[in-house]
Amino acid sequence: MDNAMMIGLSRQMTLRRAMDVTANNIANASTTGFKAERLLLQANPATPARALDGPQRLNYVDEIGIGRDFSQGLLEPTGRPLDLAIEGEGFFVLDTEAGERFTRDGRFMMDPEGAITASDGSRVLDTVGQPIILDPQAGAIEVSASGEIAQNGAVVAQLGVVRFDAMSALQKTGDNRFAAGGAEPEPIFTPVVRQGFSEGSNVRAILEITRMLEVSRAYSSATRLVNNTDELSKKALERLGRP
Amino acid sequence: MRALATAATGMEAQQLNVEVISHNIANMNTTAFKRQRAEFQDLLYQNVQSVGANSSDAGTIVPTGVQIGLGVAAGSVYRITEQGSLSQTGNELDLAISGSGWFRVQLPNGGDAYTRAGSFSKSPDGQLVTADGYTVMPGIALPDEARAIAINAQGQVQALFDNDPAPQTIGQLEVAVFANEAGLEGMGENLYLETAASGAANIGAPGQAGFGTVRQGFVEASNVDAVTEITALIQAQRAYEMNARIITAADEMLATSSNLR
Repeated sequence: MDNAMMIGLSRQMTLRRAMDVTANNIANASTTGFKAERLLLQANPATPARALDGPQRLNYVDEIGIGRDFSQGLLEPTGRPLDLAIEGEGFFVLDTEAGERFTRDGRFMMDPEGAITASDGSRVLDTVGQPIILDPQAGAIEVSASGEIAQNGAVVAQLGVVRFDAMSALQKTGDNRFAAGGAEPEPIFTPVVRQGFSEGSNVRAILEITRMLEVSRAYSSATRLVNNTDELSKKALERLGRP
Repeated sequence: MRALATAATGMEAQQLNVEVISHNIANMNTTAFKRQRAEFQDLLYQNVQSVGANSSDAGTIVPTGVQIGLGVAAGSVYRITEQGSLSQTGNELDLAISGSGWFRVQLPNGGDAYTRAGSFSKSPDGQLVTADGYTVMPGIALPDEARAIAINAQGQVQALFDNDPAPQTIGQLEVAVFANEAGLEGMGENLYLETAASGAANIGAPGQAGFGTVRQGFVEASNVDAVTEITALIQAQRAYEMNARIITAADEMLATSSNLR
């Protein structure tokens, strides 16, 4: 009897998480290089919920992971020479205090020493893992589609762009960055980099709002299920308790 | 429920976005105004189920993990120092810089500030000054008896006198460039201050490699593009509404729970 109530509860718990994930997607609808996420659910393989005379397998629902949509976000022109966006697959590599981080947010700056950095000062690395240092006085910076950085017509550095085989192992660390999480970065030798563009968030508003309605309705029905079960046991008690 | 707080961070971020956009639109006609853009970053992630954790005694590992994000925060509001269009005024003391560089201006407290708004005038004591009366460095004295002032692309200032066909050089303008122009601190009145992030000013003559040239009789217009700003405004407003919807939906979910008997 209590199985239905417990299964309903497990559904409610996952729905709350699903709502949290949707809220995070919508909150990041304007975050550069953000990748939308979806909670993945499965039937919990252990079957602790079992009725003696009922159906054989009763499972709780459980979250198995987060699915990320790594599809391309919209490229928005910004007109800044150090706004870079990757078209297709790949990540820029940043050297942060916590180790190497990977990002699709290519709004870079130049620090007083001439190093190309992210907004918090983490340096952008080239193909061999060294910071990219330019001459602050040497004038305009040109970044070619293949990631070559040139100043005054001479190529001075090659932007490092990497990809992963196991994208699902990547972990988000906030600040639009990913940690490798055990996956091995592999260099992309022919990336497609767009100068003067930034990659918008790939959150699709309609999809998220639909998802939100779906979650919120499913939550009400799960609640109704719990409610009905409760009603049932109440009635049973009343009937059986009657002399 | 995290969704409530997450959506609140989203609303806050969009509010900041609208504030930045409204500042840009308000300064559409400000001389040499550089538009700004709010930059957002996702907040921390909570690991509900860590990637790589053991999921059984047999040593199987969790391939993806469950990470739940806590919303969004403003990263920074940066300035886009793209060249504004040059509009002709015909005033001989209106100067615009074409290319990179900033005019250096001496503040009343003795410090330096930098500006690209070159609508200069002549002070009562004959100095070249900004609209607020601050001296344009290195200090150029404009003779009262001069018939006309000619300033060439390299910043050389010459005065023409009656009954004298040869112009006389009376000074040389200088411009400053910075390693990271986005790091300059705006102080209002179209003036900017040097910071540790911008790097030290590198002062030179206009027209040298890496320095822009000076155009006499022009001022640089604001680089705000009305269409871009209005589009961004619409996007910000819709995103704000969506975040508000999330709050309503999360609230409804909580209400159904609390109505359980």
